[in-house]
Amino acid sequence: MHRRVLRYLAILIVTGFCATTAQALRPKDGRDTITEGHRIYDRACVWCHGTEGKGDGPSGWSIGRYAAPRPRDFTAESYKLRSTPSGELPTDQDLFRTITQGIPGFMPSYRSLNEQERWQVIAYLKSLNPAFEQEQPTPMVLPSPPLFPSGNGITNGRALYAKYECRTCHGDNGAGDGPESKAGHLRDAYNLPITATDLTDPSSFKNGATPHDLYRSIMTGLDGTPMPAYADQFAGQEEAAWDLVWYLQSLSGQPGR
Amino acid sequence: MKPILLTVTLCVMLGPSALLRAESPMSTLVGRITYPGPIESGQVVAVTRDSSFCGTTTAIHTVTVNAKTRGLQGAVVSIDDNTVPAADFPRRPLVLTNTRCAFSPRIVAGEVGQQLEIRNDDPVMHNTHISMGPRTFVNVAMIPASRPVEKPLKQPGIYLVQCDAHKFMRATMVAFTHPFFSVTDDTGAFQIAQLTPGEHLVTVWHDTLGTFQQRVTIPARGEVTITIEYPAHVDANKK
Repeated sequence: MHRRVLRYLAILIVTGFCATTAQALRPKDGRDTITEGHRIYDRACVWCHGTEGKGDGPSGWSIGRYAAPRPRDFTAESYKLRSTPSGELPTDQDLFRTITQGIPGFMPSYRSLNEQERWQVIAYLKSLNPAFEQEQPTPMVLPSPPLFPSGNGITNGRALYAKYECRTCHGDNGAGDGPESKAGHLRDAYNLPITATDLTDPSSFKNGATPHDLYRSIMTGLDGTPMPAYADQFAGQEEAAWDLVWYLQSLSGQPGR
Repeated sequence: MKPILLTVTLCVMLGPSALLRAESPMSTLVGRITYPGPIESGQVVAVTRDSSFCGTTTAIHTVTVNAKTRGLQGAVVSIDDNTVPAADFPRRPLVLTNTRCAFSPRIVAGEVGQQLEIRNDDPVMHNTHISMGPRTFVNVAMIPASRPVEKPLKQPGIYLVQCDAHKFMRATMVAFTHPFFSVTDDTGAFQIAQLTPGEHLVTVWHDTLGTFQQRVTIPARGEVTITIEYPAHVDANKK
């Protein structure tokens, strides 16, 4: 038990340190920052996302031609990877996280850019969509995993997996082979066929595979895909949501609760 | 009671705002949208999940016409050039319900700033996925007996409503920046209140039949009744 507590404390300290450092290196928003971000974008992002940010770069054209996901259209499209409620824009921290971590199987990590450069790119990406000037994305309250999880976490989580019909898309055993996925019924915002995530393979999780990442994906959903947000269903039942997270982790043989 | 005394009493009871309202020259447009085309029986599609509740097939109606009145159901009638401040306009609650494996109403219209309330009355799970083009407005899981989900309308426009779990479930939501709109009922009837006198452009939009516009003259006070026949040749893709 003590080891677990220490582990969480260490995660909190490291996360806090990283966030603080990243913020400290963040340049002021403004024309110069956007211009510099544009310059970096033309070097690092344009191949997939296109010269105007519409997701139609030379490589992106073929990536999203016949199956999802198509490279993001920064001018109008929704964002899948967010900490905000369904339908909302992502926060700057969400964009920073995605650029830093990449999207397994689809987008590389851009840790090769220093943090200031990543913030400059974010300023440029936001300038492509006027909605960022009109809306104030507010992150949901996404708590850290409980220090003392309930003893029946996986059992409860399995029941919730059935109750919330996760199996319909992700399959009985979480392999992404649910009836809707197998039948090819799942479509993204461009009506391109999309398959459900294989929950037994955490390395393929687009939104990250830590317990916190899973919790965030469940609560916010992945806009532009059939994956809905469950925040309203779990309102006031935070522990139940964590139980579902423990069950999802157990599908890939990760340590259970 | 003498007439003067009665008037004074009413003034005190109702207050000056009521009298101002009574004096303000505003009118109501009532009418019916009719469609001369054939009455369709609906496209029958197979139901591939939750068939024990949803049935094995369902009929999808895109153009619903009342056989008695020829009224077109689910047409959105709006007047975009009305200038009356609409602060005290009586707004109807904006509710979209998953019921019997369909959205009710199939056409829902609201005003930017209003809260959309999404409900699920069915014993099966739905997800209500509302989007405008590539931008998601909301995509929420609605398990049986779940609490309603609320979401404020932020942008005017036409939204597609669908359930990814039941592909045959479709609806349309239209958001306006003003309250001068109405959705025709099952007889094709509509009503729009608090209109200023003069000539207005009435816009009728139907998700299959497209847009049709007609000018109408609103009198100084009272009610004006019109019937608009939807021409069968309207471009279905015109918004």
